[in-house]
Amino acid sequence: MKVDLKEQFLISPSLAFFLVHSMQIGVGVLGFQRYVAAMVEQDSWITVLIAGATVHVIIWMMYKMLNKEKGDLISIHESTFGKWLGGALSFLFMIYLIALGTTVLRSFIEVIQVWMFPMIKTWPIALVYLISVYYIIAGGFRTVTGVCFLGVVIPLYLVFTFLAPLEFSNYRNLLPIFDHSVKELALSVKTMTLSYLGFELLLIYYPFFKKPETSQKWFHYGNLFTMFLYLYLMLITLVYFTPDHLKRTIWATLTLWKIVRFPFVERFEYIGIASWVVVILPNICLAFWAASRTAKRLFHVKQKKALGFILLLSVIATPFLKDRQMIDRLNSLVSEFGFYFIYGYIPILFVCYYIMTKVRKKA
Amino acid sequence: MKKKIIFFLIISIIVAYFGRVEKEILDELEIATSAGFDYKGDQKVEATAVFPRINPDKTITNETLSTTANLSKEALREINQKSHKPIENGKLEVAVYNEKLARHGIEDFIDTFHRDPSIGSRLILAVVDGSSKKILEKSYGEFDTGTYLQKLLEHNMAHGIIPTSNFHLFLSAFYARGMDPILPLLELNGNNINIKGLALFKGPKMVMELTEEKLFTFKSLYEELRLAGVKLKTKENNETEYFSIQAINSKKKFKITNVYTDPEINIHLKVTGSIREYSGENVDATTIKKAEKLLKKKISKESAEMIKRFQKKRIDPLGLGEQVRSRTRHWDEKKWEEQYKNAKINVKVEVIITEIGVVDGLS
Repeated sequence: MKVDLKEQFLISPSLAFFLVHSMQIGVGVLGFQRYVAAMVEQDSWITVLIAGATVHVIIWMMYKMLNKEKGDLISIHESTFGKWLGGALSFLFMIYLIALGTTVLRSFIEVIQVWMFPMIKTWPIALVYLISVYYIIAGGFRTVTGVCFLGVVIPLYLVFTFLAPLEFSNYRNLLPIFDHSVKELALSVKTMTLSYLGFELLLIYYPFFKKPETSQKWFHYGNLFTMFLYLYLMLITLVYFTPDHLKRTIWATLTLWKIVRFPFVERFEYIGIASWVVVILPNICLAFWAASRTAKRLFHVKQKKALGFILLLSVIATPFLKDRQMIDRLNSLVSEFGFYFIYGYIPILFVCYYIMTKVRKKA
Repeated sequence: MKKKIIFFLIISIIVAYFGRVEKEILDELEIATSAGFDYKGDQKVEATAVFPRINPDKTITNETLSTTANLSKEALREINQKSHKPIENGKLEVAVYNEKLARHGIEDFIDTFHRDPSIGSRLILAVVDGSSKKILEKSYGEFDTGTYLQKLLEHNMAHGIIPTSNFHLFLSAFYARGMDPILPLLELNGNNINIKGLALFKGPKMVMELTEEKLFTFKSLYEELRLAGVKLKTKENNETEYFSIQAINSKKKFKITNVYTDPEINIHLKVTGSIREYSGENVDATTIKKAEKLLKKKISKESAEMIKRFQKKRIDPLGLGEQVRSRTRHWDEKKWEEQYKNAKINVKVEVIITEIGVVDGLS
């Protein structure tokens, strides 16, 4: 089933690079290292590479399906499982998207509360943030893409600040290489893939590309760039922290910034956190945009109305996530769902879809 | 349109009212630049905080506040109670512990700083022989005590004999397997702060002290020497001669044999230096040879002695365990601890005097 959109809503295929990269980089970057290093310590950088490679395979699968369908996840679901079951699955995906956006927002507010303003309340930040999100999404997908572009380009300078910790690093921390079993490595790959989540939104915004088939190349490049960024951060973290130190550090990336000192800024992490507002803006925008888009396709309502409802839900939900444990649990819940969706469900869907199209053709 | 404006106004008022955070105006805060902790027997510590005061005539004096309590956090809270302005610890430069406290273990104090997001990783820790309160209460020239101590220690680390150390490096060594932390040891000498040597830790407890004369050798084995000076004394034909040598740099190479059975560690140390001062007449080729030999003898003898003492106390401030670990697959920390006390550790020293200054000598 082809999804047709007017030319004026479409975006250039090369922007796929920014769409995928901006969605993958979010609050997770501030502290992904310790979850991976918990199992494989100095070999964590290998995990980053393997996990990145598996993501490429999944991207290829998604493009195969989408190129054939010329639609989005909702239409794939419908043509594979029928109207009701397909619709239910799409609805589940929408719930996931809402939870994703809310989790990112709440986790970031937690960072602000722990590192900068312990006194600040959760809901005023959430409210202000989501109003700007509404404003951006109301501008349409092209505006969202623009925010994604800025969300990648503006904070890019932060990459250089991570060179400062090298002054106090010990390169022997990386040795001996391959000192862990295959099982440990496999388990850590699972953890690492959670940091790559976000590319599954392609299933929703695919029809918005002009000549969508040509965007695949850029999509892969975007993921490759994410992989290099994670590799870069992971290597610096590993030489800077000893494994047992890293396992105790909740936000390793922010702790890296604690060593940066400029004559005019005593603590660089405050600037880092402030810049991160721009980094997670595309995350939240894209998640809620995709959720409202799914709602529109499923229930045939106006997207702005669906969006308003979703954002209201999110504003109400964020203050209920009170402490570290709850936020951590929600985070692992959402990422666990994302993991099984991508590595379990998408390959299954891929097979089912092909079987169904073959069957239909014969019939 | 009117509706939108009203909506916007209401939201701004709500957010501005509920989302506000306590103001922190610089002039209305006490900014602690250093903190000291003294052991007061039976789980009690006396904490001292130093706040700089800038006087109308542009001189800077100290104000200190002390209190005795059970935990370091508790003590800091009580200091806050005593102060007439709120205390901010984001500018903390130096934290000192007295020797008695260090020998009892400083893990609680480390935890306080480690947990606090406003403490920088460049915070310098030091151990004080005597009372840390006394050291902090004194005024030292143009700076407040915190800044003075920081400048003193930082420049001695950069171009002197104190091994580089800060909060991050302390934590790294603390959490590293096969390495124990070190801290500089200070003492009050009249109106000056003297570098007494080095405090060596086993985990969170100080177990040994290294005197100042041995720091040159220690630093050469621990990291690189950069412009550190050393005095040599020799007696020839009933005439005492003095050399003053400044190390330009040093390089060390580890060669470890039998890593799996009975590790033998060979350290090849190469020190390059120049003669700064000579009490004899002329500096010629033979004098240079003599100086090289003397320095070589000094470093070899001291390092052998030092390492013997470390092995006896079962501490590893040089990170030899770390060297072995990074060369061994599936390194066993427990086994290494057994091996360490009897491990063969040889230091081979090579000294090269490259320059003698701009003149030959007096005659």
